[in-house]
This record gives sequence, structure tokens and C-alpha cells, in this order.
Amino acid sequence: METKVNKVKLTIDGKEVLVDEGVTILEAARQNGIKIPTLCQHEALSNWGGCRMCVVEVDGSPKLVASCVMPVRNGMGVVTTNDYILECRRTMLEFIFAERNHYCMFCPQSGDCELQNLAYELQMDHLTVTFSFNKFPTDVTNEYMVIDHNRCILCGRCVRACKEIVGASVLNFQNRGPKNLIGMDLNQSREQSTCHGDGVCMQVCPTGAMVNRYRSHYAVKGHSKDWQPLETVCSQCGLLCPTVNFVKDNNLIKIEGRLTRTNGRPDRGQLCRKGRFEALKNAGIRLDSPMVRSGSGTWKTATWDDILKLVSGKLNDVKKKEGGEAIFGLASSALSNEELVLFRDFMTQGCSAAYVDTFDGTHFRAVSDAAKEGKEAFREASWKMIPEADMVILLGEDASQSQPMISTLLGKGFLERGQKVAVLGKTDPVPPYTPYYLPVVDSALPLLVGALKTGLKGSGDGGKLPAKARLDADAVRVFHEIVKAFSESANPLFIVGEKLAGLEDPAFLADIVSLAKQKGLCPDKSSRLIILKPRGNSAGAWKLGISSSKKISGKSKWKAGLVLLGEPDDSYLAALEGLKGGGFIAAISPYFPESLSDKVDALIPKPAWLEEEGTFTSVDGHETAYKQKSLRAPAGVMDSWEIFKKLAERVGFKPGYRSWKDLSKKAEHEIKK
Amino acid sequence: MKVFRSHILICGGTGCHASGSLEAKKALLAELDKRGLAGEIKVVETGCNGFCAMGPVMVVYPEGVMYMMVQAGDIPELVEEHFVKGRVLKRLLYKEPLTGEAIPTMQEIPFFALQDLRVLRNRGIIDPEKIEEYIARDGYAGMAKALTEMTPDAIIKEVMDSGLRGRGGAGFPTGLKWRFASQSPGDIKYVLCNADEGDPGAFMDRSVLEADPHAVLEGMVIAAKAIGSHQGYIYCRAEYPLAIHRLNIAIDQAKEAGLLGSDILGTGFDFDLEIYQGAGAFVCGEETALMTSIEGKRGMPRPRPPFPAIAGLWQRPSILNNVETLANVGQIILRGAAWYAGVGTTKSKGTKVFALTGDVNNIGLVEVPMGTPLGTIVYDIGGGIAKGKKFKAAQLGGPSGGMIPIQHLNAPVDYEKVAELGAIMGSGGLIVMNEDSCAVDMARFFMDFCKDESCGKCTPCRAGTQKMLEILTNICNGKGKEGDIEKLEKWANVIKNTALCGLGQTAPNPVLSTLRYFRDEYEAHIREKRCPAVVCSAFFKTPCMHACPINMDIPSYLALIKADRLEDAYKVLLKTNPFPSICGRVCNHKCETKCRRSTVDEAVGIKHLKRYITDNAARPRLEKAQLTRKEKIAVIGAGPSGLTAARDLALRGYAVTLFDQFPEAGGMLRWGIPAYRLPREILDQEISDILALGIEFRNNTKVGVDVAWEELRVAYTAVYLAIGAQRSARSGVEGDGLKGVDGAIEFLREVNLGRKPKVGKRVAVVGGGNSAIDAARSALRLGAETVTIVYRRLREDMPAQDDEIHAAEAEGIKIEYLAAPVRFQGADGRLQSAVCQRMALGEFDASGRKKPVPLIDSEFSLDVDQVILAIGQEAIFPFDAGRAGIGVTRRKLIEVVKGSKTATAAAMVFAGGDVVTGPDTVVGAVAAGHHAAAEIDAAIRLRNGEAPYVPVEEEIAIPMVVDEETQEIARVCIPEVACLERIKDFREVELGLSKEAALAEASRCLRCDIQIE
Repeated sequence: METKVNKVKLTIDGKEVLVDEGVTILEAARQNGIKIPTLCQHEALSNWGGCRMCVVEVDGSPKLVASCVMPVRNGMGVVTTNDYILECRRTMLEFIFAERNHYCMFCPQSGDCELQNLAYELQMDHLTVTFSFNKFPTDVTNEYMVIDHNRCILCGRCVRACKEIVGASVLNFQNRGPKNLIGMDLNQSREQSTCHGDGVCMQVCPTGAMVNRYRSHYAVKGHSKDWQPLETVCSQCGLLCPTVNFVKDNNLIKIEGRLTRTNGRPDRGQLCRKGRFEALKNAGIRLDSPMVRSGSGTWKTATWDDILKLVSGKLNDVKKKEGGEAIFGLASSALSNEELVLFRDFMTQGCSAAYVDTFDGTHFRAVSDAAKEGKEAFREASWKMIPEADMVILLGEDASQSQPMISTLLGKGFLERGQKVAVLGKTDPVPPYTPYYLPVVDSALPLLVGALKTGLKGSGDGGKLPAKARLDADAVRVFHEIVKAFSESANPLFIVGEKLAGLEDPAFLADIVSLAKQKGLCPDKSSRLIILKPRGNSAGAWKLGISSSKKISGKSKWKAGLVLLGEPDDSYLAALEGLKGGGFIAAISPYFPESLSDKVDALIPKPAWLEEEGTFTSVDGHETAYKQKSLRAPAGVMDSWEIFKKLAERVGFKPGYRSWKDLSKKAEHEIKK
Repeated sequence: MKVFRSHILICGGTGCHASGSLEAKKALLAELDKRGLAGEIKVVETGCNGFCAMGPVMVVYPEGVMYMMVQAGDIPELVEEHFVKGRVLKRLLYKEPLTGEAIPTMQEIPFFALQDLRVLRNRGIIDPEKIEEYIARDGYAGMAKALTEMTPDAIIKEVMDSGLRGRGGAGFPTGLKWRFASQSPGDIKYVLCNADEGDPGAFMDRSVLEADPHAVLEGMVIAAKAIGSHQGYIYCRAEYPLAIHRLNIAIDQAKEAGLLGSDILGTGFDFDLEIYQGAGAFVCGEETALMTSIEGKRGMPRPRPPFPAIAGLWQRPSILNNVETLANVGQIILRGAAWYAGVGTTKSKGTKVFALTGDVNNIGLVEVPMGTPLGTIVYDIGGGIAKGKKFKAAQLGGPSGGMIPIQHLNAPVDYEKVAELGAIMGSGGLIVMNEDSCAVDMARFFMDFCKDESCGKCTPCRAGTQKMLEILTNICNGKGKEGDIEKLEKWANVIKNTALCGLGQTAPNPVLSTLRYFRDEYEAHIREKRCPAVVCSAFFKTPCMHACPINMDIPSYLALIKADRLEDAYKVLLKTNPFPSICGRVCNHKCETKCRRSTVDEAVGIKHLKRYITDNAARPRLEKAQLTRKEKIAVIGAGPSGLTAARDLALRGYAVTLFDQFPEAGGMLRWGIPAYRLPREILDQEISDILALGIEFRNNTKVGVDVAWEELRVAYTAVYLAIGAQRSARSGVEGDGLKGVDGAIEFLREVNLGRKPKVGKRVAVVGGGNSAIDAARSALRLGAETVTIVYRRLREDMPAQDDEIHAAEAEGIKIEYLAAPVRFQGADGRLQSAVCQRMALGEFDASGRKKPVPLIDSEFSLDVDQVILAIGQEAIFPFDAGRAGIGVTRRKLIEVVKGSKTATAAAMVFAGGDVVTGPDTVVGAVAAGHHAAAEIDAAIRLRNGEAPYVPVEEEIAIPMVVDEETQEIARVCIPEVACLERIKDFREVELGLSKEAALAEASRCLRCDIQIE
């Protein structure tokens, strides 16, 4: 049902306008194309009324009002610009510039600074006010961000962002008068504070007070007007956060979240430190031409023709001589659905490989076994359900590491809605806010889940806690509280960490599934359970059937294998250990991690993360989003489509899709199934 | 009930606790017990009595005798005298500051007598920790009436009708505020009490909370009933532990008695309240910041709208009232709006409590009806300014208020008038400042406070106050620049009109108000590099030097006296002063008024020490000045100003001609000052030394008669007019022309010309300045039998130097105060009597003195045969000033062009001394002479394109020795000739200091000139 909004008629700069009741003068002006300068106001944040840059004259009164916080009134006469208003704005701007160290030419934010832009706009080309030369500390303790209080204008955007968007309230004002500072917790450094390092504060900062440590020099980034903003999504952890990637001359300058007051997502465009900063890091050695390992173990560059011939030849040979049983394929589940389909089809249909899997196949098998144990197919709940749950039980996961946004949501849920958050596991995801926290090792969790289950069956005290769990009296009390809270909860949600799924104890996962079932299903008929997955597109990989129900082991006699990689991170490559066994392994990878050099025999370069487009499936499998290409791959690097097309041709395989578009359709179709 | 014969009410406010009332109370109880009086005499510890500076105070009833500064050690004597022997202990009574007269009872002490107690009606009377005592004084009766007989609307109407306005400072009608909140929809509403008193020097709210906490609770319950609230908070700063303690007791007692909590008085109305302790941020007195603070957040103001009446605490409709406002409410409901509105002005009703502090004699809390003149508060209740200093201004409204200067002492203090004068009522802090306060420094101080207390949310308040402070600090540090004042004005205006909350909007007030009333002080700081109040130490080596119009190096010559290097000391004197032995006798020693020694005991006797040098050292020999320049300068008038200018110019190498109409040089020094103050040989020697520099002195030459003005203009490069004010002003009353009615100037000139004028037997001198005293004492010496000075005001208003008045009185001269002649009567053209009229003092005039107003039917006749008029002096121009192109002011004085001290509108014509300033001091004339010489020289050099003059001065090493400790020692007295002897002739009265006395006195100098790194 639509509520009827009353309209208000007022005059702005002589123009009669009609706006909704309750909007501010600033909104009314903007809706009607009248520009009023602002600094502390931000579209995604609550209005603050602090910088006073948006002052306007109302009904001729000499006392000006801040238009960002003054609601419109019927018959109001507003003047947004006249000589006096401009004088006030310029004077205040000069006060701001002179208050602290605002020397643009030495500031990393120059060229991307709202304060600087406003100075140009108000034609403030010199100061009539002398500088105060106050000295404030600079906080460089964080890996990604610098806080330089000398460039702070105390607009409070960061404070509001930290509270309203992140829900953390790490940032606040401290001290009074000229000593005013943005403080973190109780005057802590960024690293010592409870900050998650999401960088939302930095994104909303209108000056150089909070600066990205990457790409922050003018010589690198130039002026913001020369940047190309690309609206896309982040595919790093499966939450598919919408981002804007700013690119200049094929360089990624920065990644920002698409902040809004409401964007239909519980995070409101927040982004986490992974999404904001990871892509800016120097990722490792890029592979920009095909390489082959010689008998002596040294790597040499090869031509595309040679490498494609070599790899397809080996695969063909093995297929002909030993059959598909001697061929394996392993893919990273950080890749797009399209690439995964390309790979899968090439391996299974082109090479008849018996074993195709992802690096996180272990988890997939554990989860699918558990689902079978439950005797009913279960569908995971959407992560967007988290804010609606009255209780969240997080098991065995440091969500602040795997899906930082989820830990933020839990903190916000607790602070804003009194959501009950129980954490069972080694690491506390949201330290200050967790009332139910059982810091136990992962291996003890199955025991606790079992006890939880019996406790809920109404054996009274739920007290038969297994001695093996070795809980002290405090922990026992907390455990009982959790049991009580869960039994009272109407709308709980379990979140199971990826490590736990990797424990390979289907019975224990099945316990959780059945516990979740005790409270019925979510409104969308899904189970009250979310399983966090290790890679950005694990859910896609699982759905596309690449994660195999059979485990690849080093015991088989492998003669050839193809590995498809996507990330600079090589921590999971240990899985390749033991697979070699004298056979030939080729890898298709954007990077050349050192650990690959003795595990594979040939390397085929491919575009990196931001250089490829494709669809990704969210961690819960509920949605699929399209990721745009932000950067061009280095010259001489073929994209996956070309590589697989050429390999397929050489092994005589004709896939059913003729174009990338066809492929996308196919992938989408399979995922939806 | 037990009956006591006497009650001792000892003050238990924070102020008296600090000065020892708890110890005194303990001693008192012990002493009464010891003497077996405990059953007869009851000791009650009350809340703040209000007379805080005199604490610990106690009042003994039924007599109402009030004792001040009662320490535990005084108790045995007090009990012995008062309670055993039945005698009032005089030693501990209040003493009238001016007369020193002891006043026994509270009702008679003007501080109390002139107050009108409504909010403070229970102060010092009840024990604040006993609810019964409050109830016995009609406590909670208003609340009972409101709850049982009145509807919310009726309560609001009563408060509206009473005209009560917010006592927190803004003066918003309380009833209206309540009406808005009562009409605002919502089940949960809050009543809040603002007890976050943070103005420096303000303690009204604390005192009310300590002395009468139930009055606030009662007000809050009534307010709650009016708006439909069931929960209240008192936001009290944690720095008020006693107030919080007593509030807690009061809340507990009220709850116990069913006067607070649920179902109050069985009416079914519930209201509970809590104390919320604030952490002491000034901004938390602002209503939205206060609410934010109660919500547990950092106390920062929120934008309005929404107003608290709609969305206040936790976004619920709320009202916030100040302690004093709420303390009024119970009485308004009980006694009715008409009773309340019975005092006050048209728009400001009731009374207002002020915390009177600063340079005033009676410091404490005062409650007066709205519209009471400021002067009444400062002088009649406050007892005037301490140490005989002059009132300068009162800062009203705390650090964001404004100053009300001396010319507005008559201003009725109410919301409208105070705002009109550029101040704010604020919560009622009233800081009195005397002449030793510098307006710029005060503005800087208050700006510093506001800057520190800005919450930092909005730019203008946070950054703007910093910037304004930087400019003010620069000005005070001597780094002020042209344009600074305009910047301050512009910024003040921007901050006022753009800041988010009241703190920022009012922070520029002290600057605006000082600029309004003391702009000249800002200009003196910036342009003349001078702090007229001698406060901003960046401008001077020592305060005495800065106070001296000719910047004499006082600490140096005092140090040289101490080192017994008198010849060097004499050289130091002559560097700046051509007449040191004259000034050692007749100077009005402004230096001493600013002497820092006076903060320890008394000022150093600088004048006497100066004379000591000239009395005891050989006068350094002066060489004839070298004539190095071709320009010739004419100086007209051989008074102190002309002589000084002539000397300076001669020393700079000019040929100087000095004209004077009289046979001898000296001007007023010779013709105005009688020989008993300034012996002729002293005068002659100093003048002849100057003339000996090679100055051509043309005596008996009247310009305009003996020499034509035009001729002078042609013959001389520059002319300096130092012609003084040579004619006495006439009285203008009937009979002024009678023989025997003389002008003081003319009379004194006759005396000093040695013409021995005839004096009457009975002489009346009209006036109160130095000339009046000189004429009176001269007349006495010439044989008058009785001499009476008739002065229209009081002694403290007399412009004459205090020691001169003393001397005159000692010699038997009678002074008739508050009287003025209305006509002179005589026969045959000869004076026979002066008919005078009595005066009463009325309103304050612009100088801060009370205006004499004639009393009807108060004429009386003085039987005199001579009247000497000493009521003013006028200049006589030797030529037509208009034709000469010289501007003349309304007071018939020469006008000096802006930006210069001596240049007139006519080219190369300069003027200085009395003809520019009106009658002034010797040292003032000397200063003018210096300025004139410097400006004439500079003008000539500028015209010639020469480099500025650089003086060559002899270096004299000054001993740098400071005493480690300072002990209180009385100032030296100068020996005088006995009265009976001295009035026989014109011998010098003051005898000069002995070496011992001089050394001791010089040692009293604190050596402010020495900087310890």
C-alpha cells in the first residue's frame, strides 16, 4: 500500500517548487537542479549539519540555516546564493583550510578531494586567514589506510559511516575545541582498535584525512575527472558486493562500494577490506607468455603454438594410450561459471578425464553427505536473511577473515536490533558484541553440537556435556545460555564455517542440519543454515558439478593433468602435491607462484581476476551476478575462451557453444537447475 | 517540641565549606556542649547564604546578628561574648567597605537589605537536608494545589500569566515551552532540569540546589503534571558533589513522603526522577547537547527542528528548564501569577539571581527584581569597587555574554535592555571589572574559554573561534595589524549567523561588545602598541612604566637608589623627564596605581623616591646643545609642554624660540602651583637648565599682540602651540560678576606673581579638583580665617589627589559635600554670601559617578566675602584659529588630526598640552611636549627626505638583583611640616625622604622588569 505523502510548496532562489513534506531544503534544491555546496553531508549517511557549508537564507533572516538539516515548510522563501551567503561560506572554508594542514600540493588526496573541489568552486584561490600550524598525529598502523588528523575537517562522515553502515562505532569524536580528533575506540591506533578495516570511513572522507595506502600518489592516480568508473561486483568471497572500480590508463586506481541509504542489500554498499584493497595489492609475478619446463628443471618461454601443441598433444596421447582414467583436471573455484564450464567440458568431453574437481571439493563432499544424512534435500538460507534472524549461531568460523561483511552484519544486528549472536569456535568474529561466546577448538565443536541437540530435547539442564569438550564453569554457563536462547528463539540461523565443513564428519554436519530444522524453514522455504565456502565461486562450482563426489588422490597413476588457476594466492596448491607422479601437468594461470615451479611442466598465461568477465554465484547459491571486465589483460595473453577453443580444436572436441554469450547462457541454465 | 532560646544558622554551602564552616560548626557544637548550652542553643547547617566571599557566615536568631569569616578559632570568644555575656562580638561583624562601620544585623547590611528573595527565599534559613523545614515554609503547597485542584491547562495558563521566562539565559517564556510540549502527541514525555552550570564565576544554580533542593523537585513535578510526563532527569555536573548529595537526600525524602514517585499525594499522578551527572562539558548546558548526553552519547548539539517539545530526549517530547526557573514554579502556583508578575519590568517579570563576582567589594549571590539598575547591583548591593578603583564594565552572561560599560550603570537589568546593550542575561553571572581590566584581554580570555569548550561539531564555532582567538592573542601580544578589527567584526558576524547552537552563536559576543564600547583600546593596542589598562605585558617592561605617560624607567632608577648610585639615577630620570624634581613633588603618579606591589601590600612610593634622587644627587651638567639644523621652530607657551618640546628640539639640533606672555617661563608650573607644593628655586633651576641649552626665550611677548601670527608662520619652519588653558570657567549663576567672586587660575596667578592678593576672611572655594585645593590652601596661607570647599558630589568622586585633600583637611579647611552655589549675593557690587543648595546623588553619569541632583527647599547660605571658582578652565586663543586653518572642538580646544598626537589641520602647526586635552597633569603636558618634538622633527625630516632621528643615549648599567622573598611592609610616609607651622607661609610642606627610608622604600620594588629565563 502506498502512503500518501503531502506536498509542500516553497520558493528557492525565486523559483517556486513542489516537494514532498519532510524533505530538507537541500534535498528540495537538488531535486530541482539547484546546487548547494556541502562537505559533511553524504547521500548514504544521516544528515549532520556540522560543516555549515550548505547554509542558506530563509525568509530573509540574517541567521542562516544549514539546508541539509532544515526541513521544508510551506511558503518558505529560500535563497541559496547571495553575496552574504557566499562570504559566509568562503570564510568558513578559509577557517577549515587554515585550521589544519591543508596544503593540497603535498596531499595524497589531491585530485580526488571534495575540499579541494569546493575551494575551486568557491574561487578560494588564496587564504586571508593565517594557518594555525597545529600538529596532530598520523596513524599509519594499518596495512591499507592512513589516518592523518592534520587533514581532517571533522565533518564526522567517517564516524557516521562507521556507526550507520558498518555498525561498528569504532570511530568517534574525542576532545573538544581545537584539540578535536576522530578517535578510534578509546584513543587507540587503528591496529589496536576493534576496527575491521573495511575502509568505508576512508571512502566517505571528503579530504586526505583517511587515505588509501595504495595508488595514492597524484603521479599515479592523476585527477579523478580522468578516471573511468566501472560498475561491477566483487567476486572474492561470494557475497557479490556491488562495486565501482575506478580505472585510469588500464590501472586500477581504487575500488569503492556503491553506498546508499538503502540499496536492497543489508550492507548498503559497505565493502570489506578484501573487496576494497586486495585487488590493489601487488599480486605476485604475472605470467605474460607461455612457459615450458625443460628436463633440467629450468623454465623457458614458449610460443603459443608450441605450448598449445605440447599440452594438447600430451592430453591426446594419454587419452589415446591410457584412457581418461589417467587424466585429471583441477580448477580453482574462484573462477567464473563460464570458465568453470569451459574447463569442465574440455576435461570431461574433450579429454574424457575421469576426475575433474575443484580445490575445495572436500568441503563439497562433506556438505553433500550431510544433506543426504538429513534424508531431505536442504537448500541453504540466503545470507541476506542474517539481519532478520533473532539469533545467529556461528560455528567454527572466523567470519571476519572469510566473509568480513557477515561479521559486520552480526555486530550491527546485535547493536541495532539486539540480535543474539552465539559464537562457538576458536575466533571471535565480532569481539565486543558477542554475549554468547564459547572459545573452543574446532575439534570440540561436534561434541558441543551433539550436546546442544540433546539439551534441546528437553533433558532439562542440557547438562550432559561431554567431558572431552573440557569446558570450564564459565563456558558451561555460556553453553546453557545458548541452549536457552536457542530454545526461545523464533527465527534462528546457523552459520557454519568452511573449516568445519572440511572436518569431514558428516554426522556432525547432519546434526546441525537437523538442529536447524527444529525451528522450521525460513520464509523462503530454505533451511536455517548457511555454509560459508572457501572461494569466491565455490557455490557455482558445486552447482556446476565440478566439485566431484569422488576424491582425487595421489594414489592413482596419473599420466596427465590440467590445472586452471585464478588467484595470486598459492596456499591451496599443496593439493597438487603427490599428483604429479611422473605424469605431465599443465597449468593455466594468470600468475606464476614459486610453488608451481616444481609441480607443473607447462604454464599457459591467462587474464587475471579483473581482466575477465563472467558470472558468479553467491555463497548461498541464491543469486548469480555478472562481473564486468575492469582492465585489459597484458598484451600477448589469450583469454580463457581462446585458450580452451584452441585446445579443444587440437584434441578434436567441439563444444556446444559458439560464443561467450552462448556459454553464459549455458552456465546460467545449469546453475538454475 | 523542644524550644531553644537561640538558633545559630551556619552556612553549609560549598563556598563556606571551603572557607571552613564545617570546622567552625564542629568547634561551635563542642563549645556549646562544653558550656552546657547545647540544650538552649540549636545549631543548624543551612544551604548557601549567598554572601560567599565573607564565608563562613553565621546568623544568630532571634536577633538576626550576622557574623562573617568565622573560623573555628573564633568560636570560644564568640560563644563567650554572644551567648554567655550577651554582647555582640564586634570584631566579626560586617564592615561597610567605605566607612569601615560595623553593621550587626543581616537586615541592615545593604547587601541583603536591597535584595528581593523569591528563588532564594529559603537560603540560609532552612536545613536543606530536612524536608520538614521546606514544608514548614510552604514547601510543596504549590505542587499540592497543582495536582489536586488544577488541570494541566490551568497550570500552564498560570505560568504563562506570571510572565516567567527561562532563567537559563535565553528568556523563552516558560509557559509557552510547556504548552508546546503538552500539545505534542506521545505517551512518554520528559521533564528535564538543567543544572549544568558552567559559566566561569556563576554559581546560582548550585546554590539553589544546595540550599533549597526541594524547590526544584516541586517545580519539576508541577511541570510534569502540566505536560503529562512521568519521568524526569536532573542533569547536574559532577563537579557539584554537595548539590548532588543534597538532591539525592531530597529525592529520597520526597519519595518517602509520597511527594514523588507513584501516586503522588494519592492523586494517581506518577512522576519519578533521576539525577544524571554530566562530565563537565560547557556545551552540555545547551539543550540538545544535554539530551544527547543523557542518552549516553557524546554531548554534541543536534540541529533544531525538531525542537525538544516535539522530539527531545530519546526523540520524545521533552521540556528542559533551568534550576532557577523551576525553583520559581512552586511559588507561582501557590501565590498566583499576579503576585509573581508584581515585580519586574513590562516584559521581564519576577526576580533574577546574579552571581556577583569580580572586582566588587561584596561578592556573593544576589536576587533582585528584574529591571534593577546595574549600578544598584554593583554599588548599593555590591558595595562598589574594591580598593577604590574605578568601575570599568560588568560582564553579563558568562563567556558568551557581553560587557556593559560604565556609561550604562543606569541600565535596568532585564532581558530586553541587556540584549539591547549587546550582552545576554545568561544564567546570571555578573563579573565586575575595574579599570585594571583590559577589554581586549578580557575578550581574549572569554574567546579562549569558548574555543576550548566548542564541541567541534560545526565549523564556525570550532575553527572560527580559534581564528578569532589567534587575532586577539596577537593584538594582546603586540602583533596586532591594521585590519584586524575589521576581520574580527566580519568573522564574529559570520560565526554568529552560521553556528549550529547557542554556544557558537554567542561566542563572538565578548568581542563584539568590547569592540562596541572599547574600540579605542583595540586601536591603542594595534596602532600605538599600548595597553591603556596596563594589562597586556607584551607592551611593556613593567606596568608602572607603561602607566607613566612618558614611560619613565622607574625600575631602573629605583634599583639605582638601592645601589646608592644617585647620579646615575638622576641621569635615568632626565632621559625621559626634563622636570624630575618637579614631578617628584606634584606628579599624580599614575605609575603607582598600576604598581604590582599593591597586590602584596601597597604600591611603591615612586613619586617620593624620584624626589629623593633630585634632592640628594647633584644635577647632572647639561651642555649647550649643538645647532646642527637650519630649520627654526617657534614654541608658543613656556609651560611644561612648551619647555619639553623646546628642549627636545634643541637637543635634536634645531634653533628654537620660546614665546611667553609672562615675564618668566614655567606656565602653570609657576602660575598655577603654589610654592608650598613646589618651591620656586626648584622650579627655576629646572627651567633655567632647559633654557641654557641655547633656547631663545622671548618673555612678555604675547603672540597675536606683540608678534603677529602670520609673521611667525613665515619666520619659522614649524610652530608648536602649547598655550594651555589659561582662564577659569565662570559659574554662570546669579551674582557671578560680583566683586569677590574670582577664578581660581586668576587667583593663583596673582599669588604666584607675588602680588599678595587680598583674600577674604571667610572664603568659599567651589570645585573638587586640584586647583580648588590649591586655591583653598593658598587662601588659608594668605590669612583667610575660614576656608570652605563646596563640592557637589562626595569625597570619593573628587578629582583632586587624595593626599592633597587630606592635607587640606589637616590644615583646617572644611569641605561641604553635596552642595553647589545657586547664587551669589552681595551689596554694592561686593559679595556678601553664597547661597548654596544641597544635592542628592541620582543616576549615574557617563563617567560612572552619580549625578548630583538638587534637593528642593534645601538652600542654605554661606556667609562669605570671597568665592573662588575652581570649576574648570578654558583656553584663550591668541589668534583666529579658523583663519589659521586650525580646527577647534566643541569644548573650545584645538583639534588634532587623526593618526597624529599633535599635528593640527594647518601645515607644520602642532599643538599639545592643556589646549588640546583640557586641564591635565604636568606629566601629561611633558608627554605632549615629547610627542610634539618628535612629530615636528619627523615631519621636517620626511619633507627633506632624511632618515628618521636616532637618539644617542648613554648606557647606564642597572643592577639586576631580586629579593627571593617578599614580606609585607607598609609604604613609606613622607614627613611633613606641622600644620600650624606650615599654614603661616608658603614654605614647602613635604620634607623629602631620609636615606634610610628611601633605601627601604626602593627595596619594596618587585623588579617586574627582570625576566627570569
